[in-house]
Amino acid sequence: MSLDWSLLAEYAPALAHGTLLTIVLWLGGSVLALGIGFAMALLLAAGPDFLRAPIRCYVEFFRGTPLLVQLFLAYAGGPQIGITLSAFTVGLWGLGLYGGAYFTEIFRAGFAAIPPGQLDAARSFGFSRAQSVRHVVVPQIMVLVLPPAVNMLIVILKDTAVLSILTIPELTFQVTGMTLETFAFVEPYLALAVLYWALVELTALGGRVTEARLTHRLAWG
Amino acid sequence: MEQANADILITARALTKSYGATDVLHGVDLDVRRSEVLCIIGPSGSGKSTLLRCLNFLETYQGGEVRIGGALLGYRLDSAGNRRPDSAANIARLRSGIAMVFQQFNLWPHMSVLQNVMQPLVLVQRKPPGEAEAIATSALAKVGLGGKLSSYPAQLSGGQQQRVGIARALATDPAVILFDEPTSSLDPELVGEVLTVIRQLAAEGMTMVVVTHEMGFAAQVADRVAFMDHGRIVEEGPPAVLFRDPHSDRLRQFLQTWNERSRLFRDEPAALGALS
Repeated sequence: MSLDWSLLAEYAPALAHGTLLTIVLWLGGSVLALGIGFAMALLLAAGPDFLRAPIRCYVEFFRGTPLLVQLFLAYAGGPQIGITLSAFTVGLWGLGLYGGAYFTEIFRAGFAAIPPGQLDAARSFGFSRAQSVRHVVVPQIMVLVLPPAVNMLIVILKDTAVLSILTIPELTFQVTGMTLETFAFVEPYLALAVLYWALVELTALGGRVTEARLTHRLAWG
Repeated sequence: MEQANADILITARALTKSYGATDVLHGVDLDVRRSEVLCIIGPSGSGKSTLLRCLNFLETYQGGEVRIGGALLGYRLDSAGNRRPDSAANIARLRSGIAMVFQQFNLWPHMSVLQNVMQPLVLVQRKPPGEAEAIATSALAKVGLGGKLSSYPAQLSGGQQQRVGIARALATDPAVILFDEPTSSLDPELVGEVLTVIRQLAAEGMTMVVVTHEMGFAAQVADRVAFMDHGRIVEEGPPAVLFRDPHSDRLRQFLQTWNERSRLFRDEPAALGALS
């Protein structure tokens, strides 16, 4: 069996374009997911009681159903009830809401790890809620939530591949197109796997470096 | 509005508080007067700490009122005269003259000793960092920790941590400091250093409300002692009167138990000696 790696060179522009879009979707989805997760966890910890049930429902739904099904619901089901969104919008927000459900749990665990007395002290000295979060909670939960958060960023990165189903021309979509045109499967999919893997390893490395720095900076005792 | 007496810093009137079906405070009346040391004593679960935490609205109360310098704390009256929760900013403003020292110290573990004391000055009082550092440094020197500025709380003994807690309160230049069982989580040999600092503040005329189990301290330092039981102030007065001539059976019983226990501890070495 012979492999023809020159195919990859031929498709280099498409692959580069796909990689770029994958990174855009990943970063965009991750920012949304982090923002949603942080906000939801904050509301669960310190928000009004009536928001608790809806937030739990959100987390359970997006964690309890496959991303693919959520995307189909929004993209294919949406127009039927009068909501027509572009594939890109559905893909980006799909990743954001899906990841956000997991990040809600990650941050919730972080908030729960802060002894309430520390927040009593902040409150008694007149800190606003935002100041308590910014100066007391966040610096302490960073070290704690970093490993699971990096894990989740990796999951979101790999799940961008699911968006190819919506015909978003990200990396997996480009490579699939390539296989259909060339009938070569081994080289393109192998290259695809290696590209994802490289991105994941970079992310994990970034996580380790950040963790080492935070631990060093926040070392106490 | 009720005429505010300039010498009464905090008033509680008919204060009630419950957690669900459990009543914790049953109509407490209390005044905190300028420059006095008021000790609140009583058995565990009598509502002492809850009362203290209501005085700066760390705990919400349901009935009655707490006033700081004459202003209602925690609630505002709407146009129909109904009580509504006050804004966080208003509560923070009223609370700003009241500092608190906690049983568990509640220092922020990711900040150095100096940062712990500086933080309220910088974040809440909006002092420039240089000025805040100078105030914090002198407050720490006052509690004998001038050499620990860059240490972290976990590197200090319990007694030192509590003194940082006191310096943090002191640095805000409060009208009143509330102490919530400041020595209850300390090893016995570390209690003295904390009580010494509180005693020194009392001598300087700092207004303090101290919830404590240290009867000896209350007897020596308090201007006034309030004895609580089952969510009520059963008896209050100067320590000389309260400890020597208790009127209520409940206080008499409480003091007797305490005396017996301390006698037991005092006699213990002799008893052990007799055994050998």
